[in-house]
Amino acid sequence: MGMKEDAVSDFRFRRGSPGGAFLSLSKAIVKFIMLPLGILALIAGIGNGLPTGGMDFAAIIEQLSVYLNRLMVYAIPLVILAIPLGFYPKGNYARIPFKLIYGLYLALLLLLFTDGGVLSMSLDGSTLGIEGLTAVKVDLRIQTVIYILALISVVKAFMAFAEFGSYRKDYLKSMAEKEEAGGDDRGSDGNSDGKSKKRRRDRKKMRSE
Amino acid sequence: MKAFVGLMKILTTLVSLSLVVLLAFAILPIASGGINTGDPTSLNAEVQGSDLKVSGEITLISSLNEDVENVRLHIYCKSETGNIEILDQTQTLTAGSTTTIPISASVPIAEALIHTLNYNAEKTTPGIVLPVTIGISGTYFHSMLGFDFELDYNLQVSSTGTLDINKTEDADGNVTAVNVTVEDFVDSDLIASMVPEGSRTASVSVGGSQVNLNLDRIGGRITVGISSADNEVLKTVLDEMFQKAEQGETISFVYDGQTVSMDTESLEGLVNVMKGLVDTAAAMGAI
Repeated sequence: MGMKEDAVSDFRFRRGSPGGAFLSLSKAIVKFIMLPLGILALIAGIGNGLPTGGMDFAAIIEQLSVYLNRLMVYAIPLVILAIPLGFYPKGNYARIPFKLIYGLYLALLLLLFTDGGVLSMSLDGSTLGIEGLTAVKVDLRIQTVIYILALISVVKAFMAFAEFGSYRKDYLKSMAEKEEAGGDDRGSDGNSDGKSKKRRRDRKKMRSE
Repeated sequence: MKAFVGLMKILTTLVSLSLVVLLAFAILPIASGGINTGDPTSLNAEVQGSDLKVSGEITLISSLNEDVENVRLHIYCKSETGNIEILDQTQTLTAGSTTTIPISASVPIAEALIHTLNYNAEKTTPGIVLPVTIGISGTYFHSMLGFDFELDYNLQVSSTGTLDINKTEDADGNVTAVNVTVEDFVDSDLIASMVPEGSRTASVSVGGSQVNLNLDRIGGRITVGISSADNEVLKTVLDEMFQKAEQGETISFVYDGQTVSMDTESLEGLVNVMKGLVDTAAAMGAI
């Protein structure tokens, strides 16, 4: 019963850190949006500086941009999930489902984005400046790497439970200290007895641990 | 417990980073020109019986640190009715060394020629090309990385040649014969190698169904004719031959007076290209 109440109360807004959420969101935006855009700009910059020899580099850039655009679209849920992950500290129940979904979705993203580990590019032969060439298709097969990375992502997802177990004590301690330092104005709604009982229960639990 | 969580995080991060770095180290050498071709050796093509024999060699120079394994060189003519295989061989490209790949291909003349003529049937400008696909694939870095390149290339059969298709129809408008004339080519063109000077006839029969081929080169003109025995509808005869071959009936192929062995797969390839040409002729306006 106590555990269920703990789990529910951990989802409360007061149990989180808006600063943490902002930091986590910023990191996710840099990783999944800014970095792909930066890579694309870098490749475009390098490509424009290369002697083309009749090759239309714009066609290659366009193919790469399709890939990176796809990555950014698929990564939107991860950027959104980064908010609660950063908001709720380690040891908080609420972090478990979000971390689990994040890890499992990241594994799925890797497989979806790379079509199961096969990166393909098709170009019209005329863009490469070679007489007689009508089309070029290149497939890069990296299934081994992608499947290992996806597996690691799944392992990280389930690490949410181990993380919870490791940090729960510290989290409860910091919550108790926070509540003692700040006072509890939740008692003003008339349920102070119930809330006080809960705080006493938490402290008792910490002492026994 | 905390130590376990911390250790797992470090391990997973290390493994992920290592994999990405390994992948980059595997891709970069190839992408930056780790494999180059040596001085091109011209390919020799000569007619041997009913086949065009192509021989020569390709040299690949590898400056990579690891072997490229299962390097498959696959050259074929792609068409809607089925591929014409030219070359399919596999070998290993040894690290930091030069590998010579011998080319020894045999292309059935009738099939390749009819396919070429069909592909260029609707061209209005001079020039005849043969669509060839060159596939190169392999695995690298302990099979962590695999690549497949497919290049679609129009092989110049004649830069000046023109062709004209004529058909004969029965009272119901079904095609019973097709004749293709090629002119304005030069002796050095590939099409001149495919059809030496003189007249040749060939017949293909399966279980009583027969189609005749005429390959003539007289002066600066090549004529390729397909007709059925007894002026039957060509498409019907070709379909019958296909079905009978699949049922296991005996295939007979006589080229320039000599019997040539032909398996079901080869027959199906020839029938398919002939059907393609018949369809093209049927779709064209009446003479």
